[in-house]
Amino acid sequence: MKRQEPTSDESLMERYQRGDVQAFEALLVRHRRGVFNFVLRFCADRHTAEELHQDVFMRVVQSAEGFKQRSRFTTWLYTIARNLCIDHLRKQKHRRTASLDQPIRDGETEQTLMDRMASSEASPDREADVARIRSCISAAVAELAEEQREVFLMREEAGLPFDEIARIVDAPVNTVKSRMRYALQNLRARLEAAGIEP
Amino acid sequence: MDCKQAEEYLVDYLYGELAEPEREAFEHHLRACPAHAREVAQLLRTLELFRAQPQDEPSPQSSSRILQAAREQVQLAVPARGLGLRWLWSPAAIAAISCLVLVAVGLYGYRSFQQDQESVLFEVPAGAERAAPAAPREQARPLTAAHEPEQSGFPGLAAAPARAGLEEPAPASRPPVRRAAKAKTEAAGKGRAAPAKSPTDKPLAGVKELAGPPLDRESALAESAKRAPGAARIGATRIGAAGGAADDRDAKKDLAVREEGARDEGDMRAAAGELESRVAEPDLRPEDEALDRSAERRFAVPPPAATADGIAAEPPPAREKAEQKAAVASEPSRARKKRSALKAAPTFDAAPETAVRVDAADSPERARALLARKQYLQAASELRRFLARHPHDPRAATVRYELARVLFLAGRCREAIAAARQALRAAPGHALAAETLLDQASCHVKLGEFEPAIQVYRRVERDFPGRAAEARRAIERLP
Repeated sequence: MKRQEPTSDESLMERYQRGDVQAFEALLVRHRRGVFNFVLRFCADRHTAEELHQDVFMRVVQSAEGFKQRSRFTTWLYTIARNLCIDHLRKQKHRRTASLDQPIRDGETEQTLMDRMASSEASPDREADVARIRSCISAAVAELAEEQREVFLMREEAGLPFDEIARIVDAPVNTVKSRMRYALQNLRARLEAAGIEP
Repeated sequence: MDCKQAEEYLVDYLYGELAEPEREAFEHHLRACPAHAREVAQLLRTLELFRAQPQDEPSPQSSSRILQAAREQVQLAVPARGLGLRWLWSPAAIAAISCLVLVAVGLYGYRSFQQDQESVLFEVPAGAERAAPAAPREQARPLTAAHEPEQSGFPGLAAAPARAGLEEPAPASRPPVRRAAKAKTEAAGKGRAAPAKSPTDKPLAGVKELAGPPLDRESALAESAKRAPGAARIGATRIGAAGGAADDRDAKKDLAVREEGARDEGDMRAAAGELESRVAEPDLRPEDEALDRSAERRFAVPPPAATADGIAAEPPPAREKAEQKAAVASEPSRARKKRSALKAAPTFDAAPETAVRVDAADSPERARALLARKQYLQAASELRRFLARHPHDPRAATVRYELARVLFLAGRCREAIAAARQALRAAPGHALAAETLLDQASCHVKLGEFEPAIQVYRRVERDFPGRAAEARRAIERLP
């Protein structure tokens, strides 16, 4: 039996432009998780991510008429998501992301989150260990430079190819690849410092 | 391949995007270069660690809100789109129709002036000199009415005034003022019938329903409509813009224009009316509003004066009141009596209920549009206004939750907490309850009120198992 080709994002968008709400629903189901995780890791705050994720799709709805079939839907979608994230971070004067280097007072001693994660012994509880690794990775991603973080997340969370990322961030493809490499190196270094051996 | 070249290929290699010859060359280099081999291994492991993390899911509420917005957007866009009228939105079309509107308004003013002159020659009731300018305003009522659907979200209203004005052509002996007043009254009566339909109904269905039986003269004019199909569209626009002539001679001509417009479908008129509302300032006439109490009710949420961002700006109420008073004072007593009689007519009996529905549809939709623009405080005002006017509306429960959310987003923590409590008290089992409780708890946290925050989180944990984990994590994060 011949496998049915999945409908492309662009044709779903075209259908929505003609008034087919189900087509939009299909697009939403397809991309909501990717967009949400992109904004969540970009802004490192669940509440903000909920809000921004909603804003992204609201913009898509409002600007649907303006979407031209010439460009890829994901390029358009993540351009909106990126712009909203950057706007948000710019507006937010005091970022509240827990920095790995931020000192934490613990009784008499003062140590950083990084120190604490590094010194914490491997818990027999696997769940706790997984949670620790997860929070460590989230913090490490949040600590990446913005230009590295966006490239890393667009590739890893949205699965966009480098040439599409290059169009979104308006930079040459080689620059995008360089940022990706720096992002990976920085992540590795931070995880290593936190006692997670990559 | 040397180290420098290998650096260029490193990321492509990690993502398996190297062509076969380059990949082989790169792997050959790795065997010879331990530094690069180690780096590649570490970066691959880093990627694995990251990819092993479970992905987070957005809340289902946000998805349903997005879908709701998508549906509303389609409902707003379908009338023009469905009729293949997208060309109407092109700058050229808008400019052309603006010119038509201007010309029509100019002619209109000129005719009013002529009418003034003639009224001096013929016997007219006392005060008619002052009343005369009001006539064209009334005749132009369809233009005003054409704006209403845009505010109310009930496209069916757009077709009603023009159609109603045509259903019963006025006798030639009837002075234009009264004929127009009757047309307006009928239009208002018909227009109010439309909101009885659910706002989720297809807009075109509403328009067709309002279109009613064929007009008397329609069959006679159908032939000419076939000959000049474009004229019908222009006719529809002209009806909205000029409304009709002031004297009987011109009235005949104008009636022909109206009928020409009426040949087209009512939905065509709705689209033209909608377009006019974009190209011209809404021509709200306080005089008319003073005469039509139900219209007042309909405009209880003030109609928009176009602003830069397309959001309604409230007209100064003091000025509006003064103008209304002046209009009533300047109105001839006979016309006032006539209008009083018309107000008492059965067509107005159903008005209050339906007018409320139009109004009720207004605020939450505007609030959502404002919310999408992040104009939280304005959105909150709209929602509050809605709740003040329609506390028993079926949507009031949802609107209360939306108000809490909007205030939370606006950073008005105290108000958000109060609104959340009110919403939860009124409808504790609402689908947005858990989300609102989480918002409320966040507000407490922002205000440094950790104990109340914990209590609210505990409530989420207890009452909403689906959000319990989130609430627990939030409690753990608290100092």
